[in-house]
Amino acid sequence: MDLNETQFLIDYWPTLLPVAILEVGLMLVALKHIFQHTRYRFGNRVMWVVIVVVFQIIGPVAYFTWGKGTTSDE
Amino acid sequence: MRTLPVFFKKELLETWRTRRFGVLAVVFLLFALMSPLAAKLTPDLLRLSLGTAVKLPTPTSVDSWTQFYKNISQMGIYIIAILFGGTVSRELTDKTLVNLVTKGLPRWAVIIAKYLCLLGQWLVVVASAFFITWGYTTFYFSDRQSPHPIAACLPLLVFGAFFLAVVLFGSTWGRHTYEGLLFTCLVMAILFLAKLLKQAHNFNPVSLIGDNVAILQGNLSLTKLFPAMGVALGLTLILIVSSVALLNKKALV
Repeated sequence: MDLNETQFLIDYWPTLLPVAILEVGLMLVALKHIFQHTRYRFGNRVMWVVIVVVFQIIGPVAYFTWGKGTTSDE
Repeated sequence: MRTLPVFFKKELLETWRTRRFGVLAVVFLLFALMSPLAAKLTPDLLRLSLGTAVKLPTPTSVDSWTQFYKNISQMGIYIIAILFGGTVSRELTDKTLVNLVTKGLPRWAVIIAKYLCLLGQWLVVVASAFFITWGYTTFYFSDRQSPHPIAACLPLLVFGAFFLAVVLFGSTWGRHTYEGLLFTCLVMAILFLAKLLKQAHNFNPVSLIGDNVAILQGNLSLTKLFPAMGVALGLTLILIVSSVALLNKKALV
């Protein structure tokens, strides 16, 4: 199989599409939460936005595990 | 007895609202989706970096399942430990149990409800991930090299039940999430060290996440792991009872 891009997408869209949806979905949910809050357990808004956007999957997971506070304003 | 369902409901609501269940589900679904893909693409990726001259075996369904069990046993369970490591200790530091316990919620109900909630989440995410990987594996690899997928997954489910009890006990014992995590890592380290003892292999709970691919291929019978399952479930019971005993002794304020 040659790895030309269009062929690759045609061959693997049944997996790539759900993966992309999950990754982007997770990122958007994390971003929504970041922008709805002004305070975090640590760090600031810019830092968390960068982490969530740059590191797919790991970024949002890190945000929901360590960044998001437990009270309603965090 | 009526208090148990109430606290269980509170636990379900908490894991939903704190988005822990969402994160867990998305991560496990990604593992499930990417395992067959990774198996299919690894030879091509290697060829791209090593050159076309390299002869590599064609990937099979076994590679896909190997990826699946590797992802879950090397990353999945630690993500669970990180997400749920504070399940009891956070309630103690935030003093959120005080009102409930003084109003008559028995402490054992706290532990049992938390454990059942964790177990339920584990079964749901692992079963979904398993069926997705199964579907994609049969879709991408039409070989007959993996005849026993369900028997191979069973030990993983049992190991999860044991692992969650370890996380729960660690969380009850530790004053902070990190102490609980430390306990979980320590238990895993001891179990992996015990793997060096070949005679104890069939009794070691860690074999439940190490022998899945052999069972899948039919090289190992599931019955060989029954002792390990027994040990794992026995330890689960001991850990839960000890967690209740520990929480009974802890000061809530």
